[in-house]
Amino acid sequence: MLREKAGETPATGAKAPEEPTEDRDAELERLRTRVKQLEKINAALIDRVERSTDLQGGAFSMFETAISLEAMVRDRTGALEIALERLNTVNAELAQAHADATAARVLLRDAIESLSDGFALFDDEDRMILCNRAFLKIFPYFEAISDRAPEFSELASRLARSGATVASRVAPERWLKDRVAQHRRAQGAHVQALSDGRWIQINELRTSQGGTVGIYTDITSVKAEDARQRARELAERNLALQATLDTLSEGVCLFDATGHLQAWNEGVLAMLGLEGEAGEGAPEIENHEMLRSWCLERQGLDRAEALDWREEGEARSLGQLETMCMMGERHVVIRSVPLKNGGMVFTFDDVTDHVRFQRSLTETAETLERRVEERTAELVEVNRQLVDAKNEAETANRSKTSFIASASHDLLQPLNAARLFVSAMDGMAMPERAASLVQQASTALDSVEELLEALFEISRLDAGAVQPEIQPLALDPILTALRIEFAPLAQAGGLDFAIPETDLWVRSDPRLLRRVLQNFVSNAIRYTEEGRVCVEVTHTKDEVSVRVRDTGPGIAEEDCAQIFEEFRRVGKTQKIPGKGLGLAIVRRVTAVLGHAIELETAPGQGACFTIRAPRCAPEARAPELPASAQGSRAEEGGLVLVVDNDPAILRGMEALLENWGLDVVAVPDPSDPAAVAALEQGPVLMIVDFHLDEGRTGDEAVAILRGQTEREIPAILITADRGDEVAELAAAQGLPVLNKPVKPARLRALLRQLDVL
Amino acid sequence: MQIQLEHGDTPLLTCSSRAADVASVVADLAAAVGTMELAGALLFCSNRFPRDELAKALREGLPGVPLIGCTSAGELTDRGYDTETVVLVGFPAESFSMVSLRFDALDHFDPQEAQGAIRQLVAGARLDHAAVQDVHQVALFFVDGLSHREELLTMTAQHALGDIQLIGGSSGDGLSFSQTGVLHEGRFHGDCAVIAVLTSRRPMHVFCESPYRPGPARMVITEADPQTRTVYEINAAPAAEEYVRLTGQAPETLDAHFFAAHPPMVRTGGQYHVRSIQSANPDGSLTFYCAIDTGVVLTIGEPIERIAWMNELIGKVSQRIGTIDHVIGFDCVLNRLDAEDRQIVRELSRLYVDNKIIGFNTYGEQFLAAHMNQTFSGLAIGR
Repeated sequence: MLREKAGETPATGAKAPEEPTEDRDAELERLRTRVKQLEKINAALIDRVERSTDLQGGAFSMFETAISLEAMVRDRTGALEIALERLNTVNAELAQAHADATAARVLLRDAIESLSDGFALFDDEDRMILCNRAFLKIFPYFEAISDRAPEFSELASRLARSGATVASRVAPERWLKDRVAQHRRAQGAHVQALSDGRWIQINELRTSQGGTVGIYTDITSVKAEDARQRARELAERNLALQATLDTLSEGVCLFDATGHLQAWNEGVLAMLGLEGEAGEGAPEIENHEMLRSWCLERQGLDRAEALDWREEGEARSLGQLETMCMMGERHVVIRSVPLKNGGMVFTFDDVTDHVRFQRSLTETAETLERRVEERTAELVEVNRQLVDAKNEAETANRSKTSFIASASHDLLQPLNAARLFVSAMDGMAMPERAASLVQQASTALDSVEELLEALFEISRLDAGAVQPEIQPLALDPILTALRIEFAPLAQAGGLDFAIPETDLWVRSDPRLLRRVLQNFVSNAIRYTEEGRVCVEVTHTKDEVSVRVRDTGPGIAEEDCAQIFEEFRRVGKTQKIPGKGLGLAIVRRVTAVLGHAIELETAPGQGACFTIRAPRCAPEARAPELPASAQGSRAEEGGLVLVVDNDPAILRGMEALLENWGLDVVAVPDPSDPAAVAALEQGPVLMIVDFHLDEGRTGDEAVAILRGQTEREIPAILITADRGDEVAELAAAQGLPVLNKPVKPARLRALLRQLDVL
Repeated sequence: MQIQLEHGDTPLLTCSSRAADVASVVADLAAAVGTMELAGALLFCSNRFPRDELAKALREGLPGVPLIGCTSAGELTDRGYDTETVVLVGFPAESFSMVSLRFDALDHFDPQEAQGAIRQLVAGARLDHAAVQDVHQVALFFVDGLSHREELLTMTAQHALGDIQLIGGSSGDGLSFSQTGVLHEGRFHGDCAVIAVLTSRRPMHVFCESPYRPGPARMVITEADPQTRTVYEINAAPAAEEYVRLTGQAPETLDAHFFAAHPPMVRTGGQYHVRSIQSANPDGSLTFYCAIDTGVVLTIGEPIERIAWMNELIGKVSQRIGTIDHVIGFDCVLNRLDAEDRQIVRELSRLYVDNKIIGFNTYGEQFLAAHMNQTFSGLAIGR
């Protein structure tokens, strides 16, 4: 900007003379430049000078201002003088205020002096700076030193030393300590008893300056009034005490420490026969000794020690003493209580009626006890008889069960053999008549066998030999098995047959549950001539219901209960095969399982049997046992090794299997040479009886035989023992089991399953 | 709060470290401080140290010691003129107390607000010592030497301080002119100023003198930018050229050494004051360390014999305060360059050591309300 300004400035009017020489031109040029420079310097200086008076100076003017600050300092000195002058004025005012304060203090002193209460002011160092006449009157000891601002602790220790207060006479050091601490706290009023009988109330408070002010009030007169008041209260309390004593039914008399009678009640006068003789007021007994002799001589007291005077020490350890005595005809309980002040209280309680009543009670109790004993003896006898009867019944039941079990076993063995023979004959070519007979014999055998099996099962259930293995299980495999088992039968009868699929799980025993459902379904199919048989599965949160519904003839209401009994068949059912034991077994099995069964039916309406089992959450399915019995596909007509110690069974089995086109080696014992020879030929299957000679079991025999070859030859166990033990043992080793008598159909099915046929 | 200041005679704690790394430096300082209780301490450090790392190490190594100070363009240590070091001056708590205040963002500096804050600081410090008779108070001032705001700050501060005298220096960075730092509350800050009020019953005296006298030549600034402190023209001619012409010298390079030897001076309030040149720019202009303006008349200073001058100065100071405990010196960096050029560093250093002068080389000195250049300023503390 300045530069532009400088540029605009017109050139000076001075014109150089016309001289053609170059020197002059150069000189002219130099001068012109110089002039321009000077003009610019001039402009800058003018600008600077002008701006120097501006208030809004730049940084440089600030610098200049700073330098000239000294001038400001001078100004400030002036201000200082003014301030000093003001200070002086203030000082004067202060002096006036001081005078006023002094006057106020005098007024205050007069006011304090006129107080009737003692007044003492202590400064923040606890020195007494002010006190009035009344204060010195209360504590004359301080008169001599009140002028030299004594410390409170000095005043207090003076009091303590001279024993001016009651407490300081007893324990001067302690009183002094407490008093000083109290003064420090300065939290209100407390009372001091002076040795000369005066009572002083001291009210100490903290001042705003950290000192303490104390007001000392003589309250002796107030205290005296207090004492009178207390005496009045005591007298009233005595009246109350007497009234209380009079209301007691017991006789009470109270002696002071010297043994003089102090108080008594009506009761004691009546009881000791003192009434009337002395009229109102004091009885003629005045002290303890007179009471004692009165009781002993005039009232016939039998135990003198009841009225003994007891010393305080003994009394403290024993407390109240209670003595049962006779006074003439009367029973009296005398209690003696020593008092803290050395006196004693005696109470007399007439318990004659009470004692009499107690005696009659005791007698009643004894009579009752006697009668209870008699009845107890009777009951024991009856109980013993009952136990005997129960034992007898149990023995009878046991022998019946074991009889049936052994009879069944003995019956089943020969039946098994008979069956095998009949089956063998079944495959042979024979005349029609003979074939029909064989067929009927076979049917008859089936019938006997089924009947025996049912009886056997009932006996085992009754004997408690069946223990359910309750476990979480999927319902679907059981239903599937039912579907496969009964679909052909239903189809043969021309019935619609439906069993649904389900993913529900229940807690039950798989074998027993299946047994029940088999029974329901089989019954339904057998009794339904036309229509349908279906299984329905429903569930609630906790329970699964399986219903088997048919369109059969239904059951009359009066018959519903009977059908669950043994050999009970109702209605026109004689044509239908069956022995009437199925539902009897169902009843027992469901009882063992703890499942409920229900029946809904009416004649002509069909029937619906329901079993309800607890529902449970699905579990991961246990991996199926590898079927060790699974063998390689045998060639047509493979070799089967049969081991059984019963020659009849061996022969029957041999005949049956050969009929099915299999080669058979039958041996009574696994160590038989024929067995060894057979092993070398690579048998496709072993059928082994469980109970062999010399106590050897079938699974052991299988192990021995398998041990002789390197192959896991498939094997089947056969047993007449239907106990759980054998079944578990076989299952553990993965061996399939067939029960005797062996049903050919079942054996055949198993052989197919094992790929032998 | 009532602070009881005793008239203790524990001398000021001074120490310095030449260690290579920050950790060792702080370890040296901590060892020197030991268990001494300090009311506060001043710390001046070379710009060779990484600032954040140094600040962190100081927080950890000297916890509880209020530290203020700044980066320097050379230090005055127990060896006299020194470089590449850290120097610490501690005020024993028994005879000193120190309170401090910082102003940030100097471009938006609000003088009204700042004065209020300073007055509060002073009132607080006064109240702390109301019970003590005859205490002395001075204000120590440290400002970012590259802020260009020293004039305003100094004047504002001194105004608010009243009769407490202000003394201080502008932070330096060893003539790099890139970044300087002011230490306060455990950190180095840029673009800020710190003011501390030091209270003691010990005698304290502040001073500010320049070892130059005005020469015969006169020149007028005809073209300048006060904002950037740049002078374009002197006597309506390019500034650098005209300045050199008037010195009557023919330097090979126009550098700090030359500026130090031929400082421009201005007459104000009946006295001459140096207005130092910071650098010569390629366009022929000159940048100053302090406020300039058009129309300002400058002369070119001539050096006074330094050693005698310094002796005289020390004599004057000790006359004021008696036995010198220590002098906290704010010595312009150009003074050091000039001393190097005249080869009197050794002699001067001995003088500094003998008279317990501890401090740093500044980018400018603050004395009372003014921002000065090329002076030797200081705070002398007696016993």
